[in-house]
Amino acid sequence: MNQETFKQPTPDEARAALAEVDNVLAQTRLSIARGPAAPILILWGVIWLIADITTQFHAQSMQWMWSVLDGAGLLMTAWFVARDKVKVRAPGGRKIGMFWGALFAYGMLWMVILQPINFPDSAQGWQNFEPVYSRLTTYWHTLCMFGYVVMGLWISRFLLGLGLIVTALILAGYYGNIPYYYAWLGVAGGGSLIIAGVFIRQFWK
Amino acid sequence: MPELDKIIHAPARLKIMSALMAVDADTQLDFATLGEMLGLTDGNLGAHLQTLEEAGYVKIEKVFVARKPRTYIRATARGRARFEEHVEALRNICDI
Repeated sequence: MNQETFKQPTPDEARAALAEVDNVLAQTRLSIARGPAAPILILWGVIWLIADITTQFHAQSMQWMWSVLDGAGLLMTAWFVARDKVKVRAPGGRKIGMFWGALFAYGMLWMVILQPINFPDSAQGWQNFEPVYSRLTTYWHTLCMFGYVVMGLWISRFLLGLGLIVTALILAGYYGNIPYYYAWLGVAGGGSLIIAGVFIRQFWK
Repeated sequence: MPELDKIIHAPARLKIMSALMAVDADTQLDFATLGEMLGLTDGNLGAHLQTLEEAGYVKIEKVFVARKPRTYIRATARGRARFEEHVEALRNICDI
């Protein structure tokens, strides 16, 4: 023994101790991941829901609406993360923020430089723009879900599954040519994020 | 042959070390958060942490966050190695 002799645990006591170790390991990971994850998922679910459903019926507003909602979403996400930061001091936590920044930068690289998008300035132009716009919307939504998949590989299989399921729902809507595609994105995509956030809040304790 | 560690074997200290092992080696957990997660009172947690710190298994750091004092704890490399050896010893006992 490392220290003075003490009573050797029985196999049953050792099993109980190992079960306690597994339980605390799992609960700690969930408790830490739960902190900012639930409000962030609900926030972005609501943003998708509002922006996609509004876009369905008034496409011209998409440009300014996404800019405003994304900006507000980023500020609130930063606030949620900062609020939770006192619980855990993790040098690695900065990597998560850098990852999302890099993902967004690559997304913009395609949209602005490699495959520039020229937004129309008339109502007629917006009608002709629809095929480009549906691809653009699908691109950004699936790119975000790719981020969730990567986060899932780092943090929790739950986020991995969420990313894959929402990606499947988005692609089903896109290739299925369903009517009201943007409303579908809002309800299926945004709705899934909201349900996932509520689930985490209720059960990750 | 891995050996049991008397200091870690105490139920409360086993839970504390398990919680600290759930995060990366350079990640620190807040004292209040740790106590809340494990259901330990401040006094109880403080006493067990002192024992672990004296053994060199944890590192305790007191800092100010937003002008409020906070205490952060992380498992040291020695503590992590001893914990893993202790868990391995428990597994061996189960296999007997």
